[in-house]
Amino acid sequence: MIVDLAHHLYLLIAVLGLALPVSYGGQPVLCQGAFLAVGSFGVVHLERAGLPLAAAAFASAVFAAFAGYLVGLLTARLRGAAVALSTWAFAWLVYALLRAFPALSGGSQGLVRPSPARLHSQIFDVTITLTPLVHVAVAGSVCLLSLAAVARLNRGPAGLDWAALREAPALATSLGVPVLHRRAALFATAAAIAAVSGAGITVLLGVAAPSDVSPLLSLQLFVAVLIGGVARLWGPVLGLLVIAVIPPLADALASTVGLPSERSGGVLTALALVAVPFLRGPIERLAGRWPERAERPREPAELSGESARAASREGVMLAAQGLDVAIGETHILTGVDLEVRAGEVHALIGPNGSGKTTALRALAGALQPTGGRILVEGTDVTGAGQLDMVRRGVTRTFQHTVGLERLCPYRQVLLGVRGGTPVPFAAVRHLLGSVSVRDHAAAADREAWRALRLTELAERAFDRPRELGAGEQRLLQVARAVATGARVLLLDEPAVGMTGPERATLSRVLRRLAEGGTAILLVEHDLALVHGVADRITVLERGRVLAGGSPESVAADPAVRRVYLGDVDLSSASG
Amino acid sequence: MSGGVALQAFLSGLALGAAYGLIAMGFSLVYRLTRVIAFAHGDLVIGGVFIGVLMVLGSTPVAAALDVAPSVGLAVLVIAAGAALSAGVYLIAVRPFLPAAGHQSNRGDVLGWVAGGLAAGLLVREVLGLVLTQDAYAVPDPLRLGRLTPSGVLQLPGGGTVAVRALGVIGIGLAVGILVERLLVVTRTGTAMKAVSEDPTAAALLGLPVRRLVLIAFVVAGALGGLAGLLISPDRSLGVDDGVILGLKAIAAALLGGLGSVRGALAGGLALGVIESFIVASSVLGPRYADVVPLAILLIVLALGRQGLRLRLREDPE
Amino acid sequence: MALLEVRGLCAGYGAVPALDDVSFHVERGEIVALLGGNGAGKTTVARSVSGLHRASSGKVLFYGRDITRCGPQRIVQLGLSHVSDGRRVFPSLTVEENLDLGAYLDGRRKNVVAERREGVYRTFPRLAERRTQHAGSLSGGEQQMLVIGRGLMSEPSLLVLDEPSAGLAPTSIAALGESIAAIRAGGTAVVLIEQHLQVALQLADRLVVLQEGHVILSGRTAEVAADPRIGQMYFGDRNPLKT
Repeated sequence: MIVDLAHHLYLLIAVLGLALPVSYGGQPVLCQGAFLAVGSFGVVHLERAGLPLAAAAFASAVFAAFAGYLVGLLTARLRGAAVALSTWAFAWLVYALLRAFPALSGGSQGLVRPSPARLHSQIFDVTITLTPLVHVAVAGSVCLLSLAAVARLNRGPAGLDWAALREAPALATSLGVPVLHRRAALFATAAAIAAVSGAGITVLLGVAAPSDVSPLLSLQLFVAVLIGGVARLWGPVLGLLVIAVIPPLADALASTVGLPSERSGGVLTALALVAVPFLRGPIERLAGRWPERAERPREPAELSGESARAASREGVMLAAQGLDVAIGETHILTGVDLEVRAGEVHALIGPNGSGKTTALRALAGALQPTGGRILVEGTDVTGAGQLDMVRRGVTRTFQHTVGLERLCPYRQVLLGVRGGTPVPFAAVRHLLGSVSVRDHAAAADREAWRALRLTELAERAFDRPRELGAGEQRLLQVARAVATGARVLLLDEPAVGMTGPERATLSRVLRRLAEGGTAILLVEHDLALVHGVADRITVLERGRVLAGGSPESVAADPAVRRVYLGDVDLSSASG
Repeated sequence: MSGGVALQAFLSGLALGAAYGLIAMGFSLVYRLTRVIAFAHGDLVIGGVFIGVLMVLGSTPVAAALDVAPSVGLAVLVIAAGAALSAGVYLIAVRPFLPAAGHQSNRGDVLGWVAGGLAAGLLVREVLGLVLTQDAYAVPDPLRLGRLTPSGVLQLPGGGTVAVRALGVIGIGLAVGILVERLLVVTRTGTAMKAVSEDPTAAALLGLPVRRLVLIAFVVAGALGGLAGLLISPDRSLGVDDGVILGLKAIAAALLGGLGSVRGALAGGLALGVIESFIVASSVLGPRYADVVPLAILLIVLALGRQGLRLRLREDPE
Repeated sequence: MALLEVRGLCAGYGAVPALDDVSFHVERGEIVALLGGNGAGKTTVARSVSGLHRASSGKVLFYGRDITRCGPQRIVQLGLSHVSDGRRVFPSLTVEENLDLGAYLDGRRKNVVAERREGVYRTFPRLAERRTQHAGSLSGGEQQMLVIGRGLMSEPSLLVLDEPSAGLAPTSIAALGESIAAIRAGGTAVVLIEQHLQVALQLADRLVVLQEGHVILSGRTAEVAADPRIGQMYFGDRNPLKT
């Protein structure tokens, strides 16, 4: 009875670990059982090699973390369903290895743990006999500790990253969050925790057998995490009930109907798995009644040095020289030259399919050019990735509104601040409550409010994103990009979906940003807006620069009028 | 490895690969139309075989030669059971989670159909396991491919031998595979399926019966799986739990051939079969690597391989 | 009896409402343009009419028959064809295969399909030149012709065109306008969803203006175009018709 309780608590540790990549990171991971196996068999083998129990468990956890980081990196680029597929395949690969190599796993009998269940500390000269009750205490306290740690992390910078990771990974990258490494880190943490859980179970039961860490266990742990819904602390606890209830229920079912019990456990898991997607909606609605707790820092008074980041007014901040981009065989851009200067709004216009968005993506590092050079303040950065470009002060927005529905504008903007000026080990330092982190937090708060004020969103800082109008959502995109501390903003059709007055606001915001020294590259269809706000216009046509210069000279250029504008007057045309 | 042994490994690899190819074709077809990864596909193959066996031979089958009537019955039943299981999995576990045609913004409830497919596969394994309690069974060959020559084996130049059955499997597998691939190109239904795979919304707006076409794809995939099961099962002892790894190997084959390409899936299957056969025949690796290497190939191809641009599994978070 | 009648249509995506009490009608052989900024609900109207989106309340009548709950297949059969935005050709199929799929429901009668195809080629001669080319290799303007031609293959009495001019060069837009006029001359009514004001003003008999899911204006083209609210919606404070 107590053994069962301890066993379930150990499994709960694995569930809590798995909740990190699944509930918080948004990736369906189906190989937690495999990492449990690393802990189980690792402990036995290392103890046989002469390591003390604690060291053996620690070493297995470290090894599992490395393995988890590797698998996490391999799967980090995949879509959700493909993550499920590859982790499922990994679970079976580990299981196949265990079955194919009895030397590793002890065959179907498993490996018996040699040493007695005792912990001896030479430093304190204490010996603890690991009775089932001690196991319950150990497993229970590890559970509580992990719950508390996850809760604390989720309130801090890590929580912001996680929300971005699971809801809008592309947006997260554009704001400077290293998505792939964050995903892999969550994976590694989950794996290490699983290894601890596996080690605990092996010590508790005295044996490690392949059938105990089969892919079925991975599925059960996954179900347990899912039952609780998304990113809710008490979710995994609810999941434990599932784990604890399935085996006795299966036994009862087996004895009444006369079926083999190991099979009926599988049937019940399958039923739970089917039930989860159906139950998720209602459970989340139930959970939604308790709104997420969010601190509401007060808006600080205006500071005098707000535009301290202003760069020199004259310099060319971002330049493309002879930029070529091809996707497959298709040439999208050919020899595009472009200069974006500090304090200037530079509009990039052209018919659909002329390569405006492609140019913007190439400049943001999201697409590797096939030829030509990209310079940031005179430094050649050709080939730099998106994260690198954000760090260098070049941030872009998306054509479509990409939202983070659960985060209020203030927190969304804060995400941009954190991405633009990353604090090393921010999550760990927040967890440990280090003092320096508080200074960083105060600085980030100031930066967030600066971005909100510049985009006239300060009054909506704590509203729900879905309560914002279409135009405000677009402005929020700009605000997030501004918050990264960008000195060059690459804006992809920010006016889409805006009403007339909202466009006026956008023009005002863009002028204000430019006056603060920011260089802005604006891809836009609305020529009335472009005419009102741009200092310089470049016209693209079929991937080549057709014309460039002041709005007046471009409007007067006969080639531009013929190809793009038709006979419609620039100052009043809708494009 | 001598030349004769290599030739022998190559031919039995092609036979194994023809079966993998048929399963992979079904997987690719379904993926192309719905972007659904059929997690239960391998279990359907094994499920189809054992449902046929249960209905014809009962729960304690022996691999004795069958009369003509039970042979035909078994063959038809296995293929029909594969098709029926596949259709059932689609209707119960997949379709509820797919986006309605034309719902542009969402890709449906991905977690829903992933969980549904995994659960369906698990159910097939466990429910069959309730009745078929041994670890593995020997399944008779209703197609009687081994009896094409009196001895059942052919001498190969260089000293090896190959079962005549393997040659029959290669013949049937390739013939059916190529036939289905051609049908998908030349028929109106095939063209309509191509349209659905490229743009389901546009297809629905033209009045194409999208859901029926998807159901047809699942049925064809299930029937191909059932046939593959018939081809593959008499050569080995088969357990109800073997479906998952079989399914994962078929997915590896589909990926090797370029995901979404039905023709490529058949080729990928043949390649994987030959690879596996050489692993088993090799003195360095041996049979214990027969599952390990294909699974590792699957992981590597998933993580590092190039997929077609439109049908990609990757989503570079840019 | 109107050809199409939309009565008090309400629709939304999840909890977000997209349409609120939208009503308008289309007579036989008439061109009605739906105008409005992005997010005004134009496309949602089209999707609700063609059965892609379920209205939460209200009715859609076609030939006086309630089609609110019908699926797209049934609605195509009844003679309503929706050409969605974004020039959604099937890129790996040839022009001819693309067109034939437009007549899928009548596809067993080969000569009927061939006849209709020739009809489309008469309207869009450029497509005839490229009949064996893959649709993905066509230019933007040609792809737009192809999707409209594909929509005509079911011989609809009402064609819903969603943003056909989006992203086309001015010369292509002019050609497109002529084609739409020709389609109407052939007896097919058209619901034209447009952001490009000039096109709508030139072609439409009547205008329906949407803003944030409401109909704010509707009536004969000349009357609506004179309303100052149009200019405001599109240009902030400038009225394009005065320039």
